[in-house]
Amino acid sequence: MNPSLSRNSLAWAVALPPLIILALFFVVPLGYLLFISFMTNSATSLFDVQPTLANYTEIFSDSFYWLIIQRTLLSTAVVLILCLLLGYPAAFYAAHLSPRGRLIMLMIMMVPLMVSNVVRAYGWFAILGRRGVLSGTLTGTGIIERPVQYLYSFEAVTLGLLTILLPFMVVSLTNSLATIDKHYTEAAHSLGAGPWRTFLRVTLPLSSPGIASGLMLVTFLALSAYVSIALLGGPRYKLLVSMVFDSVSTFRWPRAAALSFVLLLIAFIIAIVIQLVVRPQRVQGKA
Amino acid sequence: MNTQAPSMINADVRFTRVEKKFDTATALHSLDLEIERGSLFALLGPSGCGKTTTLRLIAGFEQPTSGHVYIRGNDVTGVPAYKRSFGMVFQSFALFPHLTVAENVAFGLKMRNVSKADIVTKVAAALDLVELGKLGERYPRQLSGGQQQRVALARAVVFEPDVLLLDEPLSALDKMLREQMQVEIRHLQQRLKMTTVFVTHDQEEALTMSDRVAVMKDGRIQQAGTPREIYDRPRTEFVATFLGASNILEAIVKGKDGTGTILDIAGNTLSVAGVTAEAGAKLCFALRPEKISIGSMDGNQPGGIAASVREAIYRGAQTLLYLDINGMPVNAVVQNAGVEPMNLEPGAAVRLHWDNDNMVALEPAR
Repeated sequence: MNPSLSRNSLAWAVALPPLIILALFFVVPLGYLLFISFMTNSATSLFDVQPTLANYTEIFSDSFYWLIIQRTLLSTAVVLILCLLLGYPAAFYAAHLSPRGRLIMLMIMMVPLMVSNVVRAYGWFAILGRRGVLSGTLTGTGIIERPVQYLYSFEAVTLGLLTILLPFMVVSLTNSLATIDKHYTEAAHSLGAGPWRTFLRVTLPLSSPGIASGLMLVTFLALSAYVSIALLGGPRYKLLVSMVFDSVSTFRWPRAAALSFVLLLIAFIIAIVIQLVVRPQRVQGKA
Repeated sequence: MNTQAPSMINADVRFTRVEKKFDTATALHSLDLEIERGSLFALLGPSGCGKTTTLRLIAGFEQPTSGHVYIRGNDVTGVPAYKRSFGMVFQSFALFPHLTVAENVAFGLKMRNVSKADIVTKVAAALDLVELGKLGERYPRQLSGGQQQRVALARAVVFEPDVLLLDEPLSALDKMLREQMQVEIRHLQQRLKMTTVFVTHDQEEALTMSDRVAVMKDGRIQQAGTPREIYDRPRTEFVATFLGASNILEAIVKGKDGTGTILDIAGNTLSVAGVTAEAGAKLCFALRPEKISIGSMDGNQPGGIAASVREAIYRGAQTLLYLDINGMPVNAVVQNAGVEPMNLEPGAAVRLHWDNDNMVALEPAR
């Protein structure tokens, strides 16, 4: 038997189970969801088999949904930028530690993720609420006159998401930065580039795979996070994911399906923008 | 500036009592070094001998624990790498993968704020110099190993640095390409008259390419000199055996006669000039295998030292002989000149002849 053929079939044998699972539990339901999103809402069953574009046209003609989409894009963008700005220096530091020190630092950064999202969100209540630590401190020191509700706002949602997602960014960046051969920075020094120009022209572009994967990870997690958004945004500050949930809880399944696809489309567009801006492929498949 | 007396007028690189310690390990022991302007200087030695540390000290990637480093007469001790004037070719080439070949070569010029028009002409000239004129728009990953090597060279010399540093630049290439690049680098260096320091563990490479070689071991320079000096007059057993093959002959001093010192080598008596030692002292001599010629016992060459053949290995151009002089192993290489073959079967008795001037007295091991 041809050895390359047998290696090929072995590779297929290994890849097949996850592919089947993926097809069965992801691709098929997704197709079904897409199908549902073009059906009519029904009061008595999941949907009526009457093809319609109404679910989509209603979303895009309603200014409220546009506001929600705007908010979703804004909060995602702010979380992405803050994750990158705060995460990069931390990752830079971690990447220059010994492998052991790096492991310890990343483990410590992961500790907050061991706390349940619900518990964490209620932690924010204790800090940001009207009777919370922040409001209490500011009134106590006389900076503000009356207690202020900091919850149920853009800031609360963004802060909540940031604290969950920052570790993902740092891990992704650290792994990328730690694998950059020190000869690249030394080559830049030998060519007369100081630390700052070496960073901008060599280290930063070479870390672009880590930047891109970190940003994508954070994007997808931010768009699909629900607990933090529902609890910290409350009824006043809703994002697209909250609308999916609201539609489901009012039994408008086709509308929920359509909203899910809008969310998916947004994730897809952001991913493409990240790839186009960061261009990680320029250092992949490297020399 | 320091008050060290310059012993070489055109020393482009000078170390005065440079010591380098990493934690507790000493990588260099009080190293003194001078590299003449326009020469190609090889640092040769096994891994861990301190040759790479020496190169990194010239670059400024490492700073000495004590002592001073001078480039073109300026004390650069403590000056960071990016403020020094050197080009470097790395073992891995370290070409920036996100930049084209032309952008890689232009990098050093850009950092030195050369005007755009000058950059274009200089990059084109540098790429022509390494015969890659047409590949400027390619990315490093689209080039072969040899081409990447040339780009790395062009990038290192385009801004006319004071010193060119090469860190085992040929070890990533296959043998054919390596030999070709040895000649090309040598020619390029001579054309540009650029002071070049070259780190290698390959003794043949060091002999072929350099004006001067420093053989290093355990953080010290064992011997520095021209390739011929080092090969023909090794000072220590390490130098003799690291550069090419060498027999180490142990001798006992018997006394003196009119021309020199009388030695006993495995029961044979020889007289060697230019050696001073007390009677009864033990000395070691290096003798290159190719300096030994072979005569048969019944041949017309009288004299010589009796030996027996242990094994003869035919190598085409030469025959490698493992010989035995009264129990002392000796190797010899004879050219297969095409005359009638001698009996070199194992056990055959032969006579060995060599010029005693080719026996080099070695210093005791440090």
